[in-house]
Amino acid sequence: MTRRTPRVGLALTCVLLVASTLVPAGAAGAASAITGGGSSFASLEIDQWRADTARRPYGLQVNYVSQGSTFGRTEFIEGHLDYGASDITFQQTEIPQLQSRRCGGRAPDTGCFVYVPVSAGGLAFMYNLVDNSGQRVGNLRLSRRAACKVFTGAIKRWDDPELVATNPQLAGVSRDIVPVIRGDGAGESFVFSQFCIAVAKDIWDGFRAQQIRDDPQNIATDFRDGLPVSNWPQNWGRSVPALYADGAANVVADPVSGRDTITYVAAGYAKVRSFPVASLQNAAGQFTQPDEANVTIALGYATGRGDGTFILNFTGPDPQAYFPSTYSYVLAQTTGFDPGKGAALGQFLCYAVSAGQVIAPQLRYARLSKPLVDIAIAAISRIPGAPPSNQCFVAGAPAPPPLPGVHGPGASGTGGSSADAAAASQQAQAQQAAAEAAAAAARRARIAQLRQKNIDDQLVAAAGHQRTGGSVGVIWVLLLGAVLAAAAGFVFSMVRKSSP
Amino acid sequence: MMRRRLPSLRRCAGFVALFGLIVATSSTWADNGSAATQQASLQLKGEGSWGAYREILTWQNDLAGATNPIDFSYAAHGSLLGRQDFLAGNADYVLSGVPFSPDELTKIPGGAAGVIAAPVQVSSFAVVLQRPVPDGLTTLKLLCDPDDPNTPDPAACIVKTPYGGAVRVPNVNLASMLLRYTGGTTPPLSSWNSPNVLSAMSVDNFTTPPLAGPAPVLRSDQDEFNYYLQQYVARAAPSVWSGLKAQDTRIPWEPISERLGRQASASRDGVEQQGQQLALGGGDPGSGTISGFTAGVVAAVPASAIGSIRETFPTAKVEFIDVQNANGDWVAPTPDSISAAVAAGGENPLFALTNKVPGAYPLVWVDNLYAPAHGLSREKTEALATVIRYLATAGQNAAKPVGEGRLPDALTKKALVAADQLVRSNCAGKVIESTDPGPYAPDVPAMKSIGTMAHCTSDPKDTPSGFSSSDGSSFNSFDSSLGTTTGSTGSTGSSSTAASTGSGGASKGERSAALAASKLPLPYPSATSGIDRLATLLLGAALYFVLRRPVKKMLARGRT
Repeated sequence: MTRRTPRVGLALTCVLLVASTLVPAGAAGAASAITGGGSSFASLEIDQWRADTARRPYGLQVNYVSQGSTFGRTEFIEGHLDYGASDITFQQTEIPQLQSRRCGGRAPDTGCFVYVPVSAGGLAFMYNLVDNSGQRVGNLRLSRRAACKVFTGAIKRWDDPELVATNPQLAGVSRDIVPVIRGDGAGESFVFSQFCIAVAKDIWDGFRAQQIRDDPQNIATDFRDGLPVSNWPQNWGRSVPALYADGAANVVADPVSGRDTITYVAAGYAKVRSFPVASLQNAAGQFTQPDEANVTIALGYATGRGDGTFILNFTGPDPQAYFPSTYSYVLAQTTGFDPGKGAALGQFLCYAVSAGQVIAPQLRYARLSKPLVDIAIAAISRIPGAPPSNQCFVAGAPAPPPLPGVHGPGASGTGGSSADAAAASQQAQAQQAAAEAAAAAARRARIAQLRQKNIDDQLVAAAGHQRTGGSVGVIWVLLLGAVLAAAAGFVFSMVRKSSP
Repeated sequence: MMRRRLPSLRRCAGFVALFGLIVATSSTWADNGSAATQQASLQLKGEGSWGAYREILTWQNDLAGATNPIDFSYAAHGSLLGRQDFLAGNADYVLSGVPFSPDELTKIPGGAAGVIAAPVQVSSFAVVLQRPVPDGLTTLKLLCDPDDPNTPDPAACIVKTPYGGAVRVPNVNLASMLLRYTGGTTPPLSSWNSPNVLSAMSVDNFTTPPLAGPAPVLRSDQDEFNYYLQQYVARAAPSVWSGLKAQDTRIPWEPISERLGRQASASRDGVEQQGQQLALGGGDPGSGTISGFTAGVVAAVPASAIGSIRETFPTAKVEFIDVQNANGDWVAPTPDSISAAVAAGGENPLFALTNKVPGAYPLVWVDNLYAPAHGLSREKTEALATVIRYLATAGQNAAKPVGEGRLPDALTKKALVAADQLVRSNCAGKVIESTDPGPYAPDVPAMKSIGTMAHCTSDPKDTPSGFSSSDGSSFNSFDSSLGTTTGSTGSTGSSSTAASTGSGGASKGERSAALAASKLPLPYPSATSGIDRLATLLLGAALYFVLRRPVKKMLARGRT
């Protein structure tokens, strides 16, 4: 008995050692489900990324409630969401709550959360308008001032001389304009009010003065102070409030009640409904559409704050730029966050800023340029459980476009001086990403080469691949079987020998 | 004892070391395996309806798991935009339950002949209800007059009973609820207290306000669900349809399209957002505010959506409204009732709405996968044909678990014919026939039992020996899954050497060898099948036992 016990124990230990190596490393369990919400500006992209990452090899369950940036920020603060999404940064009034409820009492800038830029796009002016002959107007042109005047009640009719000056076909279209504004706290409203303050301050101030005069009891402090607002003032002129980008676009798209309406949404909402968006006049005097190239150029004038977010500039002189354009950010916790959820969120965001960007132009967004992707990846790597920065960019995904050169003063080239600093700090990662991009390009070239051949050649290649790798695998699996059999025999003999 | 243990320890250490070496080096096959599944993934970009939005994940995963994986990319933004992007060349295929319009066909070279249509999916729209908040559907009975001063306990006069039965709404009323039509009656047709609604549920009243009906959450993107919702109203409730048309002549109700004639901010883009709006705790979709009092919310969504809503919002109490079919049955959308409808009606949409089919859910139609009849590359031709074959056969198994119906055999056959047609019309090289499902096929049994199918090769002399020519040329072939030959010459053979005989060519030997290697009866462990690996492992063990004694003897002989 004294001999048998150590022998059996030894044999069992030996076999257990072997068996333990057979447990697959990835058998840790399914990824955690995560729930987020906020920006409806970015939600067309976010919804597509959610669908994409539900598939192999990700298998993620990512939920998203598209109810406006304010919703995203406040629910993130309250801890009701695993991640938020907002087109703008936390507002000063939100910081104390953020500090106490999500940051454990520490100042938010000490790093309890990160902004991850995920989406870029133009704020488009979707409209539903027919001319006097009943033909749908599809080429509306708006000057910067006219756009602001329409949404502040200073221009009330489609045949206003200021509109006719750029749209002769509107002469005689003597109908009221129905501006559809956002009824919820919206990043789009904030960006649009920023735009008006920047390019038509007199109009915005006139609007403020009138609102203060007409409805002094219901004036928000920030609006009264001349600051940009997430909640666009309501109940003036023919304006109609609607909830979320989806709702605003729906009001405009209604075949009857939507006539003569105009709203501001991400351009994709108009595309999905087959509606046109206005061309906006930029600082160079050119009318441009919110297409990818124009949006990317406009965002080249933005200045980084150093925390992943950007101060938008609407006055860049490049003739191709489309203003107003903006980014959307995912808000993610970096301390005190469940690493399981962090892993899922990290994978989701890594996909979003790399492979997920491919869908952007199809949905009328702009792909993130390389400095932005670098900044995003650095932020993602700070989420507990998220992939490290050198493993974030999805292998095989197209390399992000470089930030195009922009003309004139204010051009940052990489998104501004602060962004330069941020980009510089990401230098090593950028090089890493470049190496990965080169490898990916090589792989793509190889794949393209393979596709030039016919399927049987592919089969040859695949079979060849299996011959070199797979046949070796067969041998090893056979050997493994033999070794396991030997182990079984060994244990059996041990037990037999030790038995009396 | 120490002496005895030492050799054992040594043996164990050696054994573990040897095993470790094997595991370390055999990680090559694991890597190769994953590389094999990720290598050269061929992307097919698709767009279209939301009909299959729950099944598509299974499809995508299965197709990505093939030896030559397909990245079956899909963006659901409605069937209309899907067709438009397909026409613009931005999509390889489109899933749509609404066919191309004559106007759209003019944009396709060859018109209708320029598109291949394959039925691949049974779609249904269910009407999902979130009952009124906070009381749900509650009936009220007066046992006495509470206002009578002689009543001893006025409170005892009123008995409120929650309605626990199935929610049944006659078609005229359901159509009115979905499109906010009052009918000019009191109570309105859209009200819970409309006499026909009460009669269908065998109650006298509901405690909801007399004029109140559920608020609809409609679809704002241009999808087949809007198209069939309006078709449903026009067919099952013609009085409602004509009333809607008369109500506001500016609304372009006809011809019926995928755009709803009446939009509102309550409408949402896509089924997910629509379901979310429905489920938001009795939220009023009109105002968007979370209200403590509603008369309920209804949405026309795929039957599969209810599972998704329940998963995402576990506290949301959502249920189906039963719909009456032409046979007079009250039917909820289930896999069986949906399948029954399409089995009887085939590709006729909403068949059971106007034809008597017992137990059939009436709001059912078939989605087609549309692909170009010309101009596809050979790889995409093969991949799309494989996708169609997969969707029409094995892919149908994804429907029942999410609550949808499956294609009847007749439509499966039609899809398989369409897949062959797609190959023949697109193939610039040589069309051959084989029972081999091809390199893009997921490793599922149904794909191997389809039978003969068309494949495209680039040139007759390059025809792989695994296939036979459709024009009767003599090519030996064999079905890897069955191990039998199906060559047009009728030659037989089951060994892999059969593959090496065949048409010649400089690369033929290599090709044949490769084919043979890839079609061994025991596939490589780098294949995805775990059973194959286990079989190989057991074979190794068996070899050990068989060879142990002869090798020992041989070694002993060598020593002596």
